[in-house]
Amino acid sequence: MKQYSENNFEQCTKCTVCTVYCPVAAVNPLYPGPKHSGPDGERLRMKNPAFYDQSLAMCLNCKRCEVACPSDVRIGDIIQSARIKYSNKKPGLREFTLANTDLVGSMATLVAPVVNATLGLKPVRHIVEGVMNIDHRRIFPKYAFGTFEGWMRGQRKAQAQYSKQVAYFHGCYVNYNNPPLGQAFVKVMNALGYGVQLLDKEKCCGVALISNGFVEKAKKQAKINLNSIRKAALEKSLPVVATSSTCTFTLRDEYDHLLGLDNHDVRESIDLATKFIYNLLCDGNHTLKFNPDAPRIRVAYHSPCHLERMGWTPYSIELLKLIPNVEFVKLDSQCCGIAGTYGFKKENYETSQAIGAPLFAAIEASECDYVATDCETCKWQIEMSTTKKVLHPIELLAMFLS
Amino acid sequence: MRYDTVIIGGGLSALMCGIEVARAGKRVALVATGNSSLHFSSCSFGLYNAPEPLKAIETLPTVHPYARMGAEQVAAYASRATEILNIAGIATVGSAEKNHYIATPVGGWRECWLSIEGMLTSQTGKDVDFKSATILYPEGFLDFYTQFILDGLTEMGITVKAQAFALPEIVVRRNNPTEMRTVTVARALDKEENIRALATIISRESSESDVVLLPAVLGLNSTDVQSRLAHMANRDVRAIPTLIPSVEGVKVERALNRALESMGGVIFMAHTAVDYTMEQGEIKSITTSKGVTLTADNFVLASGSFIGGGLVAQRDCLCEPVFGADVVPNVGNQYTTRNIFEPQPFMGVGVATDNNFRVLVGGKAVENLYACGAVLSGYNPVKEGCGAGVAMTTALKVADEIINNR
Repeated sequence: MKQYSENNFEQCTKCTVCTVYCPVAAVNPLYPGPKHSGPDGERLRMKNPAFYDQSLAMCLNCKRCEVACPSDVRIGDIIQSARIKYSNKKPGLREFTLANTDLVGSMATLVAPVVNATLGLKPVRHIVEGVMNIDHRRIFPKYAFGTFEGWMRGQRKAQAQYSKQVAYFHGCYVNYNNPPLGQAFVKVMNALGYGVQLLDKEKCCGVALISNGFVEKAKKQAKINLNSIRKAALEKSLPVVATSSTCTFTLRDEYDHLLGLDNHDVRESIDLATKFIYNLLCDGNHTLKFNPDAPRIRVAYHSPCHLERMGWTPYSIELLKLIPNVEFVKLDSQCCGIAGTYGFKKENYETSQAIGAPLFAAIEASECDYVATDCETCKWQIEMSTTKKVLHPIELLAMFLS
Repeated sequence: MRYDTVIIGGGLSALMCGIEVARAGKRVALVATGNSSLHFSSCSFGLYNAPEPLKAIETLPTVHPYARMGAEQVAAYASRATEILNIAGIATVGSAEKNHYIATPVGGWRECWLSIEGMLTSQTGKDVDFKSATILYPEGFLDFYTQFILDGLTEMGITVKAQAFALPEIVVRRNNPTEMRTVTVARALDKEENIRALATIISRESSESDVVLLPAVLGLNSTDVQSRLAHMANRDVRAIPTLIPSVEGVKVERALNRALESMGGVIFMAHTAVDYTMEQGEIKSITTSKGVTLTADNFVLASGSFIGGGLVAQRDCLCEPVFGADVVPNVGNQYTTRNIFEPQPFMGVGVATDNNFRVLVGGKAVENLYACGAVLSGYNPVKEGCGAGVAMTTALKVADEIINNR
């Protein structure tokens, strides 16, 4: 179909299917909903920017409206672009702290035990709420003592011995909070005959910078990432693989759609770990050996919003179904409510938890041993709000390897 | 990725076919552009507009999908469709032997084969089984035409009163000019405190009526809201379809999705089939808009009509965009007639198939490519009231072909 505007907004037939699937409109009556904030509002904003409405900040950028839309309108992109273009709200200390995952992470990992213990204290969380407007009920992810990049430096020789190589975009979460997930990825790739190397220079993908209003900084970091990815993908012909669904989505789609950076030369080289591995296992030349004596466990899979938007959920599902001792349960696809840094903010906490409530109930009712998901912030949200531990599909894969 | 059967589409026909094939133990994937046109359907399913639909379809022209199967097979598939809806947790009333009538959102009655349990129905479309009714509707609700419904029932000689109700959680939605819609109201009415409050309103406002009529916005996330309201208020509560998005449609799509996934089926959501490869006259794989290649033994085109993008209208032709299948009949440039209430030529247009619903490309049937549902040619869903019937029966016919032939 011929497209006349960059986000297809003229293709909207006003069918309101997007509104059915908007997690924010479902729980917060103050949010006008994706149709109104997106294509409807865009028409008016094009006439006069004064029609910009601060309620657009309530959009958590899950893109479920875009997944639901039968007419391929990029509703979420329309809303986020309008925020970038028209919002004159200046980000403050809270936004700076939440958005600069690299800076905060590299400091925190140096003194992780202290940071973790301090942020775990209730009085401290109340002070954080008072000073920063971060809700005191929100539990922070723990920081690791030492980074994943640091661990990988010790791996360089061992990894170089594999004839086939992938470049790994680990993301801030693996680097500063959960190096064991990165190590699990290395273990699985090694078992498939691949060595893992880092990109020349990796910066935070920038998703939190974009949503917190630091667009220029996001662009700067995106350019650094794109240069490193080009070096790996175009000069060394390496696939660039990420474990985080949101990092993958940001590198592939948000750089182009929201930051206006041309990434088409490397977009197809950027892949998600579960998809990359499942495709390897399908090509007839790769197999994984699983431990037949491993205990049987029941795993409920939660599909993150940005993975749904990429359309790659079936890869994570099929990969988990391949593990012989995993009894697979698919949870209904719905937003967990945290949306990166959104749920940390005091004014969003209630909305965030109300959005996630049906998912939390479904998880408890599933009688699973573990929840699996490809997104780190979904993991924080689910672990904080349910009794279950959450693992990445790659961690489960590594756990069951013989 | 490899599956036994890949179905292009995510609507009623695709889901029915997928569930039936998955039930037979095959690996099934659906490829859906977005959520389906079930969102625009009251889920009052029509088989054929005639008092006795199964008898009427015996005399249809040979190009009609029903005629290709024959009345006996249509009857068998119609009953199996009902069974699958039941397995998915969708309770229906009605029979293929004899149509009943379902109330419409604008106060009329429409012939119907199956309707969701609890809706306002009539055996004749001319009378109902009660003498007085109270219509209750949320104040400011945009998707429900109370006065039309009131007029329609009054014409039947029923004593009717209509009364708006206000619940704080619903009233607040009026601040927004466009979102006082079906799903918004339904979400509020899923909550325990609002169910209780509405039950109190029902018993207060309807003490002199035989039945209470509510817009069909009940039980979006919990199944038993309507029966609980009836029980708590001690009244006969029935629902009347609303405008779109239809809560019943959302519920049916979700129930069928769950049934498919519980049988191991997978849905590629927000993918559009854009390309395919062929080998020795058979489809080998399709590629989606997101660059995913799906290989399978059998493929089903259940991509819907114009609204779902299964058929595309261009200035010079009506075409099927994925495989370039033959599209019939040739209506020249007469896509429409001037009178909007007359049957429109474009509505009878769809892909050509052989009698086993294998798709014709260049006049030749592709061995492993089937079509079912609204993408098919040879019938007019609006005039004949057979859209849902064709969608479900042809889906099950195609499923049988796939299960039995390979």
